[in-house]
Amino acid sequence: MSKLLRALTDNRAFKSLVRHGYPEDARTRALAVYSNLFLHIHPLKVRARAIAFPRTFYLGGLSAACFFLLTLTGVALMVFYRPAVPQAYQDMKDLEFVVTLGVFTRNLHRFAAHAMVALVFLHLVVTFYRGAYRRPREFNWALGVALFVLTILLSYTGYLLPWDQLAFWAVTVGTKMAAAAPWVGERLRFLLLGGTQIGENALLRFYVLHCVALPLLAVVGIAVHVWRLRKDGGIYLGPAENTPLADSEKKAVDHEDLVSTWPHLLARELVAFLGITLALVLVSIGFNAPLEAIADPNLTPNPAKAPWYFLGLQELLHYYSPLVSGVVLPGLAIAALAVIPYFDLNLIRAPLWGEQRRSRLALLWGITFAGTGWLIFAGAHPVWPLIVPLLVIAIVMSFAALPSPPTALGRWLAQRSLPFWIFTWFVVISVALTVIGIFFRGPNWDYVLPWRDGVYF
Amino acid sequence: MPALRWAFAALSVLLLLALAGAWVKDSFSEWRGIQSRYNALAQRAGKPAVPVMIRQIWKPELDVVDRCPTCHLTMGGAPPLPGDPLFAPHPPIPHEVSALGCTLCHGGQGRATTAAAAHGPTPDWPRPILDRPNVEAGCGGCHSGIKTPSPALAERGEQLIAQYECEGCHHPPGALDTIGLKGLSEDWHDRHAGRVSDGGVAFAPLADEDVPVVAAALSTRIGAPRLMAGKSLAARLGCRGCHLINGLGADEGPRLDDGPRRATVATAELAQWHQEHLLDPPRRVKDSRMPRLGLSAPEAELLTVFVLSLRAQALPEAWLPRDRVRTSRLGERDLATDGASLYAALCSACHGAAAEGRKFDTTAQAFPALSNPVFLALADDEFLRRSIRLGRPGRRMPTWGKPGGLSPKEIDALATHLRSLERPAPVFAALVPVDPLDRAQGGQLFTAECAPCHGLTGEGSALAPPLAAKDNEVTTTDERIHGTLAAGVAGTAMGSFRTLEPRQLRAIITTVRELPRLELSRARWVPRVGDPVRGAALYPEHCARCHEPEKGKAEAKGPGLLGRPFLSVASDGYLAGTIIRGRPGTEMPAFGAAGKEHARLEPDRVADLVAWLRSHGTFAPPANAGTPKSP
Repeated sequence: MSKLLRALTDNRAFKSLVRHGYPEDARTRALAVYSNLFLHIHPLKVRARAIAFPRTFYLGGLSAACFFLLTLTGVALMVFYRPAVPQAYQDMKDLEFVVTLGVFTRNLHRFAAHAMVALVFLHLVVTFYRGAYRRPREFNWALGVALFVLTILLSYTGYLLPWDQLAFWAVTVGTKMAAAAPWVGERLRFLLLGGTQIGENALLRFYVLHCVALPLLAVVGIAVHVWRLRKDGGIYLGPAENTPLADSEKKAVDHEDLVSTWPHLLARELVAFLGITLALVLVSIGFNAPLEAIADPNLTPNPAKAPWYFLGLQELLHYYSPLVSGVVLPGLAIAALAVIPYFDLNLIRAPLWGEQRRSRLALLWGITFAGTGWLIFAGAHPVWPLIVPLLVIAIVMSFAALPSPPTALGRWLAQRSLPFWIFTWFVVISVALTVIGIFFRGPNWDYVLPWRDGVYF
Repeated sequence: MPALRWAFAALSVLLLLALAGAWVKDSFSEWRGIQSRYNALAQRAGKPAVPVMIRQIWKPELDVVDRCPTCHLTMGGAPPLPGDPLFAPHPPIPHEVSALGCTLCHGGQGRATTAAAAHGPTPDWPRPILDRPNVEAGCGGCHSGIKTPSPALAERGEQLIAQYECEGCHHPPGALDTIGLKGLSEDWHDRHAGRVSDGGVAFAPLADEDVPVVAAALSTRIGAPRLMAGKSLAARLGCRGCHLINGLGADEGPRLDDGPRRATVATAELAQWHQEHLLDPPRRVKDSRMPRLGLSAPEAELLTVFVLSLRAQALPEAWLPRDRVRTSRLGERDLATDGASLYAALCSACHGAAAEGRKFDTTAQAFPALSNPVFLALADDEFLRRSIRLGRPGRRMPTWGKPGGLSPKEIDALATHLRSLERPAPVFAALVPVDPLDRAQGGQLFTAECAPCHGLTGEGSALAPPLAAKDNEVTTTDERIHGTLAAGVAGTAMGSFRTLEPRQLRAIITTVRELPRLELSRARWVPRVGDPVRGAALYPEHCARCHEPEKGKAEAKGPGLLGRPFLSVASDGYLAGTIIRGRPGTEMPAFGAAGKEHARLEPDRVADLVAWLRSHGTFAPPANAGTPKSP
């Protein structure tokens, strides 16, 4: 056995490929990372605490793993797909019925795409709660927000490609919302669709965006994102430990905490990759991606729902004009997310209820009552999906403001800062709206109970 | 690290297993199993095995990609095998399977390679496969223009085929079942002359008048008996009086042309729906206005085949079958266009198979009996033609003159058919000689039939000229009186009196001849135009009870009289004549005489009423005004 191994490794060809030998001591381990184009995006050594699972839940890495899987399966699918009407739909049928592993590949692509949107969102949430957007990471945070938008666009442009009813009407709903933007909306829609209606031109444009333009942007964006992470001091460990210093890596730090990237980080990355792949493969074997009847512009399904990650916005569309729900609110949310770190808004995260408790409490309920009143009376009907989370959060905040919180949770909440509460409010509302849009809305956008009436999509 | 190693090892193994599972799931497909089964049976039968692969019939010009032969191997050219119905040959049909594929006729999803997806129903394929009892509906998808002969002709033809024992020589049984496919040649009967059957029976010629009748029946034998029976039934029941079918029909009910697009329903289920709906519409469609047709269950099944056949297949121009070119491009009909056939196909559902009138419980209105002798006596051909063309807005009567309706020639044919329902005019020479007993009856008849307009002594009225005027030349000869009674005078209230027996006519003629002459002038008589103001007062009193809707109801019992189309068609004479003579058999009384529930209207009052009605719409005089109402 060892003879065979030696025969395989002890020759010029192998040594030209793996120059440093098997990485078993500090030097060769360093070389394994250092001399590899792909691996040397990592530092040679990382902190053990930084690569522990609970620190980040590996959400960024898992998102990247999804992107990798999507690229693989996407290239495979491109071989069988023509972006034309009605060939696109026929090719879907052929994938389903005659291409070896065609259904499986399509399923994997579809489910990985959904997983990536969800993972990137979770990554964003966790990063915020960890406070990892602080100086000097504000650019990387903004880039991350941009990558989140890019992920959604990637998924959305892919949604049209099967050219079935689901695709056609989901994209119809989405582009109608975008068209509400003042002045540029209609032009943007025309540019995106290559016409005024979703047709063959739109299909081709979405195809090019989905397969070439957006993935290129994403690759570059992800590369910069990871590179910036390393330049900004690696995984964020807290305000005390990686303080904003450009040369933080050179600073004397706790060397006992450092472990070599090979194998400690790489093994974890590999296991995480294997884990998400296995999960997606199992889902792809068990469930099939939906494919409805061929797109028919004359046959509107009821309800016509956008892709799931837009259903929060579509739920808003029920209450507000497309301009507000499709452009202003999501635009404001994205812009607010991107600029948070630049405003140095309580970066040290002083507890909200630390001082001036009474006046702040009054202000909180003032805003809450004003907001609730506006949400009840301003629109055509009360916006319950916004009102209820607003009130719940205001009540929890007031509970945290009690002078001596009775429980550990209360004490923890009492220490939370204003940005924490604002962001929590944003997350709760996004999730609530999206969940309502996905599960609780049926024909005519009326309320349904999913366990009784089933889920409409 | 050891935990990571274990995790790495376990995940690797599991992922490999899962990937292998995906491949296994993909590989052990239904169709591979079926092809293996075929090969096993082939080996036993000593036939060659087929390579295991997907097979398809690909016809890009028809948009056909049918992978059905992947399982139905014999349709792709593999030799049939006994022992499994799946491997049986296709029953004989006039088409090559390899030329048209499968789904054009059978429906279903051709690209699919699993039975469930191919046969349906599935939410993603709107055309599930046609099940056995309805399989002939597939023929109609392309051959939508196959003509149904006149119902009477076809029925008689079938009797004659049995009577002449055609199938005694044309054997085996069923030899004539597809004779109509190619169409019968002009000289098919002559070519039989002198032929002798195998059994030595010489051909005996058919009666000349029977030849076209037999030909009509044979033309329906195209190998799709259920479809043709259903189509003939639809043409006989008058479905097109409400539904648009193949470019002809009214829009009272949903158009049936588009074909049912119920994606998620299996054909058997859909057929069940149709059968139940045809037998009892409200059972399936709440508040349906479609009347119960009184069908038998087998009739409902046949009609279902026809309705299912209406999902017209989009075909490239070059592939349109001849029958469809004739109907969709050359303007021909898919049914016989003689008056009786058109009546059956368009009118019979509402007006009754024998034009006896009908009343359904789904509407307040009754449908008038077109065979009513008084109606036919007062309505001239132009009235019939124009009523058909313009319809009766507000009533169920459709506008047949618009697209989707009838051509002028067809409307003529229909009007002629309706006229044929009237009793033929008695020939004067055939009148019985006058009987003394009839003289007394003549007086009574004159009082009942003539006096309401002409007056008891023949002095005339606002509506009718004085019969007893000394210069009235018409009343001086029996022939001329008879002529007026038999044909009426077009454009006036004087309709024909074919309702009377020859003896009664004879009696009336005698009475009129013997009227004492009065010092009046026929030449100076003109019909007096009534006073609309007085008419306005009469309408609510005498007419509105039936002709206007009751409070809170949408529809009146009787037809609306104030609509422009009706008034443009109905002459003053028609209006006055109908008021005076009523419509026997309906609730419209004869106002010429007092009845149980109505008082008599003097001719002057009738003229007032007509003048008021006329103020709601002008009459467009027909081109042939002044000629007798009917020849």
